[in-house]
Amino acid sequence: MIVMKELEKTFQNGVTAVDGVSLHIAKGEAVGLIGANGAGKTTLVKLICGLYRESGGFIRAFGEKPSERKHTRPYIGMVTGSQITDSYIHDFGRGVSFLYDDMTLSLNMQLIGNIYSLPKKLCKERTEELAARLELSGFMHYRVGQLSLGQRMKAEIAACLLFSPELLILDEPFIGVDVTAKQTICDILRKLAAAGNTTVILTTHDMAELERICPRVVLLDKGRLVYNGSLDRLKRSHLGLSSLHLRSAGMPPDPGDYPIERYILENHELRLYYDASHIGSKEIAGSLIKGADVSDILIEKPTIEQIVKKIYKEGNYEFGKHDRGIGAL
Amino acid sequence: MRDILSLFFAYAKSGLKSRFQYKVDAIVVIFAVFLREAGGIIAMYLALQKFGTVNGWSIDELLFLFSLIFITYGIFIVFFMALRDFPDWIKHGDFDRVMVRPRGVLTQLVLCGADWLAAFGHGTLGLLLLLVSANRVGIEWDVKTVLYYVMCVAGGVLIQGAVFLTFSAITFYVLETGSLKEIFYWNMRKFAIYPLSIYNKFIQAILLIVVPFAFVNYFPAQFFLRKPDMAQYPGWLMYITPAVGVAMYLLAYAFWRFSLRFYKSTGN
Repeated sequence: MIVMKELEKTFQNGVTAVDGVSLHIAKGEAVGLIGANGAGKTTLVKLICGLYRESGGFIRAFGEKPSERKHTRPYIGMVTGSQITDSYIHDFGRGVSFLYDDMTLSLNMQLIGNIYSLPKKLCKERTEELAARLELSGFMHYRVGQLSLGQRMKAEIAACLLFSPELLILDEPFIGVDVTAKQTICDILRKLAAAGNTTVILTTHDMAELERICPRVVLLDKGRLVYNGSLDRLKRSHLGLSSLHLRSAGMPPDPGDYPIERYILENHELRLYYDASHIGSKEIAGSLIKGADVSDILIEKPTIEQIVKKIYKEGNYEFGKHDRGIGAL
Repeated sequence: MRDILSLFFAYAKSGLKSRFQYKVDAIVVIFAVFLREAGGIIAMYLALQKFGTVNGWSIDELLFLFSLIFITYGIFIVFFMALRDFPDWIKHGDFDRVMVRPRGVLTQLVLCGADWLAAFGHGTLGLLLLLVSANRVGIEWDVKTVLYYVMCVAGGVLIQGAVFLTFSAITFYVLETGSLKEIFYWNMRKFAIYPLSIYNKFIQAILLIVVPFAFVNYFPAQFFLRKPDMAQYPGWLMYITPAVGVAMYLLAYAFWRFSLRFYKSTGN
């Protein structure tokens, strides 16, 4: 379990990256950490790992003060995708990584097994199993530096799962990763989260993936915790605009007095944007179909991506406004 | 301890394997390192053909003095390369990886950072110089002298390790320590290839106290060679290289521990 209370981190240059964050993360929980760039996600993660010492407040992870961890247990697996990606783009040669670039993947796995005192046989078995699950079996004899970005990220995750960490931290594991690799990573993380033995903290801008892996999200802005709860509630309280796309044989129908935000009419096609918290899709669609010869209709709900984009942009963190009723329950 | 040894062998095995994946490349690099370092010796050798001796030290004796530098560096680079390149570790974030693993930070840095090619380059040169000079300078090799020689080499490795550990700890406060290293290690090393006694008091003081290269090669060599220029120093200096190595290393380690705490609380 991870507990934070009024956690604060101010750097030497006076920047306060984490500002009064209070948060509980239960053992085996999967939590998504979101926020615009510079919101303090990485600093929070580093505080949890004990890479930074807090400058104020209270933090305990697995019963210990993280910055005074005795390098034994709990085991922390860490994948810092953004820096690995950077190292690919800018050709730094090295990024933060569990793996050594100039060793083959299988050697890396052996070495990690050794560092974490895994029995050789178990290490081999797990390596093979992870390689199969992450579709890496054909790349075990590649030097890690030769792997493509998607393979590399999968390899990093395999390296972390090898020693069954109690805490797995994934900082942007999807950046620059192609769709199939994303899918594989997502699948394995979902299974891991469902098994409930590993606490997973995921920071990402890929909301679709986040939605699939983490039931709970924590939203940071300028170091402050501005939302902590289920993704569903976040969606409900911050509905973006839904859209209704309608094609008709004759003249498109008139939406009348409904509270429409935008209205686009092109030939026989009508596109409406409306706030689904003010008016139900059923109501508006029903009324439109009634008055016209409709040949096709498509209703789209806002994606979590659009919602978060909207929140970042507007800085609107009044979460109680729309879902007061739900909160009271 | 057995645990750490097996870890060392795991690192060494994989390090060697990856370094020698391209065998020709590896051999060319080793040879290049060898030639680069040997060039300086050849130049000195030719100059000495003319002068004969330097402050009473013959060519062979100087080669013996030389050999200690290369042998200790060859071993040093097997254990302390990560400290040599430490600013890069911090800059690229590799240091974070080391910090979350269930082993001591320094243990991991020391174990994983072998520059095998440099080690072979410097090591072979050192051994070659030792083989060439050892018989000709009249050292009587018995159990006692061999033992003390080994201890001196270990001390010399620790002294250089301590110097780099200190530089690495300074990296926690100021990120760029390249020029410090240039001045206090590489330049001092150039001074150390000649007998300490030829320098003025200022440089001698630096080589004795600040970056004590004198204990890496000059005083150990004096133990074996007993040259007359030793008269200007207290005799016991010849016997303390292993102790200086251990003491300096412990001191540097304490400073490193302190700085690591500082790094965690400030965050670079």
